[in-house]
Amino acid sequence: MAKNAIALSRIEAVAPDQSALGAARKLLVDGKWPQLERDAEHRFLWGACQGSGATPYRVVVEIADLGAKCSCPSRKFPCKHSLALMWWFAERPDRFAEGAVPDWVNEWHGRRRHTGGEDKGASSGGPPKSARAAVAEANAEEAAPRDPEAAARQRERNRAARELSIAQGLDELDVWIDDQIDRGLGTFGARAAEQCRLLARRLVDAKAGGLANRLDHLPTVYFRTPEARRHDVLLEQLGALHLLARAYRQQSQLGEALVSDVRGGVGWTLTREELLTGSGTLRRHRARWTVLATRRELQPDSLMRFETFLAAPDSSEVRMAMLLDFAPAAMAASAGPGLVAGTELDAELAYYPSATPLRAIVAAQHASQIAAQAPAPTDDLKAAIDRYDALIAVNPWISDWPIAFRDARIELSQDGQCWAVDRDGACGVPLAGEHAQVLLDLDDVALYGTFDGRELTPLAANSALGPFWSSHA
Amino acid sequence: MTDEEQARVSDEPSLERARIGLRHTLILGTSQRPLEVPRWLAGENPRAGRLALVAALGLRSRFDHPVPPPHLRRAGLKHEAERLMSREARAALRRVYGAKKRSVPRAVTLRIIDVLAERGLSLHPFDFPLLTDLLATNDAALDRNARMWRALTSGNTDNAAPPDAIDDANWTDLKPAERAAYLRQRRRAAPAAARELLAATFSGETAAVRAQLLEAMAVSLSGDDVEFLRGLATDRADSVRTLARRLTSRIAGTSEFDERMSTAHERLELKSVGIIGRKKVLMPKLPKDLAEAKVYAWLSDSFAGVSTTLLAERLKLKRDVFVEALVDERLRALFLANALSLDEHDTALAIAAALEPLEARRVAAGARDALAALEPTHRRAFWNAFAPALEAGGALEERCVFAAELYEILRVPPPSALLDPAATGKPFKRWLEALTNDANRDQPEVAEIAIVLADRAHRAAWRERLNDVPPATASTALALADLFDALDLQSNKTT
Repeated sequence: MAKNAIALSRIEAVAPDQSALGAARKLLVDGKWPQLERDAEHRFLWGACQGSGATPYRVVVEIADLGAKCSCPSRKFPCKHSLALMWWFAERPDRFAEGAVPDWVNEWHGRRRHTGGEDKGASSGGPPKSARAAVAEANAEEAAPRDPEAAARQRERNRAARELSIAQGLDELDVWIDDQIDRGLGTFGARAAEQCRLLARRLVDAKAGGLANRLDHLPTVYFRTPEARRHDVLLEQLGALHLLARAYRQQSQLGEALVSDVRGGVGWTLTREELLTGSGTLRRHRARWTVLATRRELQPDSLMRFETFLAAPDSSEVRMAMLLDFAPAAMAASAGPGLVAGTELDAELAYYPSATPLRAIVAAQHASQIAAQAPAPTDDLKAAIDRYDALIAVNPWISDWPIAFRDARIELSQDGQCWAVDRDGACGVPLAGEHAQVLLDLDDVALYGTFDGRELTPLAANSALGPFWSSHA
Repeated sequence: MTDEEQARVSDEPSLERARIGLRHTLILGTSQRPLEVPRWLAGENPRAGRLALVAALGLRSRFDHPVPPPHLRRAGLKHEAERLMSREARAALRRVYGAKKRSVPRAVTLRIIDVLAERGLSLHPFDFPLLTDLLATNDAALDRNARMWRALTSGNTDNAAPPDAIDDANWTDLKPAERAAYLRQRRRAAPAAARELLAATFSGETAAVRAQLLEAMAVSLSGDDVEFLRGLATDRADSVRTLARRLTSRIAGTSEFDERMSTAHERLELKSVGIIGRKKVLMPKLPKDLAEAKVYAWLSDSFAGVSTTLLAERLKLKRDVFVEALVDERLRALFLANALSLDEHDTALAIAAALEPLEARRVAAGARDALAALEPTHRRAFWNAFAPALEAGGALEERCVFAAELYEILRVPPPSALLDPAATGKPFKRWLEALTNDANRDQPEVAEIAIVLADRAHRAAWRERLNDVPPATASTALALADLFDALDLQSNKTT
């Protein structure tokens, strides 16, 4: 092996999650790297990676411990650019020109050592001064090479520091929610964007990225809700945030699966390796999965979020799954999960641990073919809504959730709203989405859609006119 | 059960009853209206109690689901699975309109709509969201569900359903252009009944619609219409009064007719030109001080609606000589429109056949409404009439562009010979060379028009030719070839 080579397994180990690795892989293109260099001693790699902006990101990696720094705004550490730089070196070391270590690399390295020493004392002598310090400690402690036992102790200390930081973030969140109640939900709209952004930043500092995302998204949820329902939706959102904070503090009283939901909601992530080997993971479920739809949504952090919904017939119901992928917005046209609605996959999925398992990854794929239609649901509309309610009772943090029901007819209300109703018209859901009207006047429809408790956005349907795949429309 | 648990159970109904009040308090803000939280919920910490209450109320709200309104209704779409395009045709159609790189030529879209209508096939409703360019034409030949979808998605959820069959009872529900087309059709079959239909609703229409509908009276005009037309002399719109006078002047035996024929005769100058003076030329006697901007109005006032046959008789010219003598393009355009509207088809065909390529495009565009109003059998003949102009252009792109323009007007397929690959070999090679030599040149519409207007046998040859065309230029044309092949296959299976 070449001097100070980087094994791919090491890169996989430091990657924050599978999507970061996937995104890094897409950066292994010559044209994206105007600069790739290393020093003569093989201590550092550095380069410039062209992102979506005009100025390339500056990336540096210390080969010994894979400590990294990038000028991109990603909240992930290491980011995809850092991972890509490591990956380039692992696969094509000849691409790196030898050069003198630039000042900015030396400065970073100096800071890194300096911070590491300072925080070492802090962590041994008591709690860190602030959340930022805890994060710095986590980064700094990564830097030092050590034996496995020492590394395990280090990870435990990092974890403890993050828990402390999150605890502080949760307290801030509660104060913030109480402040909103004090001021009144009626005036929330006027201050929503600024207030949510401020708290989201603090929660990022507190390493509670999941909560930060919820806060970031809250103004969007609030303003896209019809005015008459905004207060209720806001109440639900604030209530869910507090409930999440409270549940996090009382994890010992929760079941193992729900703890996974709570920790995931706050911001803890699982790597693909952890997911496939972890004790909380459901067994891999092999089935003939029908790809119902792929949705894309641009997030506030400029990442495109891809949700792919799958369904497979199970013993007494339809089993659902959702694959989640991310890609930079600039690359969204060519990126994405690569699964086409209306395809049937013979595949094994591994679910993320959850009290209400839905998110999954494809553990193994065996074959694919065009699906004749989506699997036939067993529930009628009322049963599907009851099932949704039962899921909320178990996991109150679910929101848009895929449901499926049979025997629906699609009609119009007097105000022009599309509704899916059961045969006797007693139970119904309004349909959202710009394409719901294509289902109008159809009877005996088996409908798949995501339900938020108030509206159903169609994903796919079986009808007398054949299968409907919303992603094709 | 502990005392605390007992307190919770007994308090839950009261929490539910107080929900609305609590919600109101939270909207106002606790600084405005203090919140009383049950002790079992608040414990020793008032803030924790408030937050717990928010969580409880928020969670409870999650279980509120909408209830369907009592009067749901059908939108009026008619789903006939057996009439839907085949899966293969749908896939090809989505390739044509799904690429979104550029818009599909209107003639191509109209040809697709017409072929579907001829074969009694419908677009699949599930494809509507992808076919916005096609649906945007809102053409009368577009299938019923597609037109309804367009109305529904543009917010018109009331009376979006067009009638299944148009008759005298429901024709007023149509759009003005469709009503005029229906009136023309009725005039051909039963002129008197059509006139009565028009008279029954005429006064309630706007001036623009009255004029548009009155134009339809030009079909099968006869002495029976004189009374109705003269009755419009008191119409409140000048445009309607003028049009009624002009229509009356087309009816032989009326004083208006005689006056108009005399005026037309007087305003034409017949000259003999050429070395031996055997060639006749007809020129308008334009007033010397007439401004250029007013020439067309003067010509129209002098000759619009005048019978070419009767005018030729007055000038003592045979029809062919009369047509040959129309050397002024403006006169040719006017007399073509006159011949078309007065059912003098042979004259109209003779005028069309005498046109040069560029002039033919202008004249055809000018006579668009009159050509479009013809019966399909008559419209078909105009492909042959324009054939000399179509073929004289030489370049394939000119031929295809003019053919596309004519198709938009005539809406019947061209004769097989027009796009016979054997007859277009050289123009095709020249076009291909131009594409190859000029990297910036991109004329996909040429290939697309050729594919959709060629008949079935020639389409296969055109598809072969596309193998030589750069893929980016040929991609939509190839999708169109797949579409038409799939539609042919579906029609064969059905028959």
